Amino acid sequence: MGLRSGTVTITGVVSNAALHGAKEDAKAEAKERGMDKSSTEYGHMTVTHLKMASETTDRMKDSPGPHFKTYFFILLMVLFTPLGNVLLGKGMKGIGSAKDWTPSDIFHVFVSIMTSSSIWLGIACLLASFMAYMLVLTWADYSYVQPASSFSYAVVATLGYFILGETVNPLRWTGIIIICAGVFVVGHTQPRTTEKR
Amino acid sequence: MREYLFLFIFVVAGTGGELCASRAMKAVGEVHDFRPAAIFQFVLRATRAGWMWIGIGLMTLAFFALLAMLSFENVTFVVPVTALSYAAGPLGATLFLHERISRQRLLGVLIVSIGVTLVWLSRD
Repeated sequence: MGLRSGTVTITGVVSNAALHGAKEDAKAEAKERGMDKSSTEYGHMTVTHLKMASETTDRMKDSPGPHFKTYFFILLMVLFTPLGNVLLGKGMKGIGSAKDWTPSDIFHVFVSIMTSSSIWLGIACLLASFMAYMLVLTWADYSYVQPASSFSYAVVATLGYFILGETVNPLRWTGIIIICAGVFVVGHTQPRTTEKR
Repeated sequence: MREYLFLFIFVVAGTGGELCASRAMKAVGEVHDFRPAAIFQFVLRATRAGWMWIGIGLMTLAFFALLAMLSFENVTFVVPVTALSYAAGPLGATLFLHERISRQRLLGVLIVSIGVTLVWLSRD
């Protein structure tokens, strides 16, 4: 879609996932050039009867099923990632740190890691979370899923407090909440910024 | 001192690994067919990309750096500070994948960095 010269007229409904990226590019270009939603003409670009809807939005509007499915898989992600990290933490606390970092010391720690049930359980949780993430991305937008995953930072602090008995002071809670907000803002940016190949 | 070292390894190797994997996936192409056989073929194609193996190697290194940090620091400290990858990611994506970073994304990175600083300051 060329917006630098000529006239571009966009009409109709964008409902195909492949066209969604093109629609986002057009929106970004228009915004960059100072165009707002009420403008019908800016420079050489004319926009008429433009209605945009991604497949995700359409599917979610159509039935409550996919909506529930999306929430369910995001919930799995938000629970399994922190649980995996907490289990890794529990396993590593049991194994302990390498003392003098000599090759034989590192090898001993490596063998302990490979034979720790907590570590393997943690890896299984992280893999389950990764699978849920990959599956949810097959029907939901990345820009919808990624910000939701920011809650996992708050969940890891809660699980660390209840399962491992770690102290979370107010300053750390403040930092974690700010991180969640930051990840949320990053997730609300455009997923694609380069030209489609 | 070692927490700085392992955090550095985690952020650099983790981000580098994801960027290499991303480069490999872009070279392999977009997935349109989600049937198991098609996904298997796609994974097979991805494993033939050299960048993918470099990415896997770097991500493995990042995983062991995370384990090393968890052996002497609390999980409620380690996991939030690893969010620093959200700051390293856009920097690497600009240099390595020639992506453009919007103002909003920069703002998000700044907010994450402030949060990580607060978590770092909260250490006992």
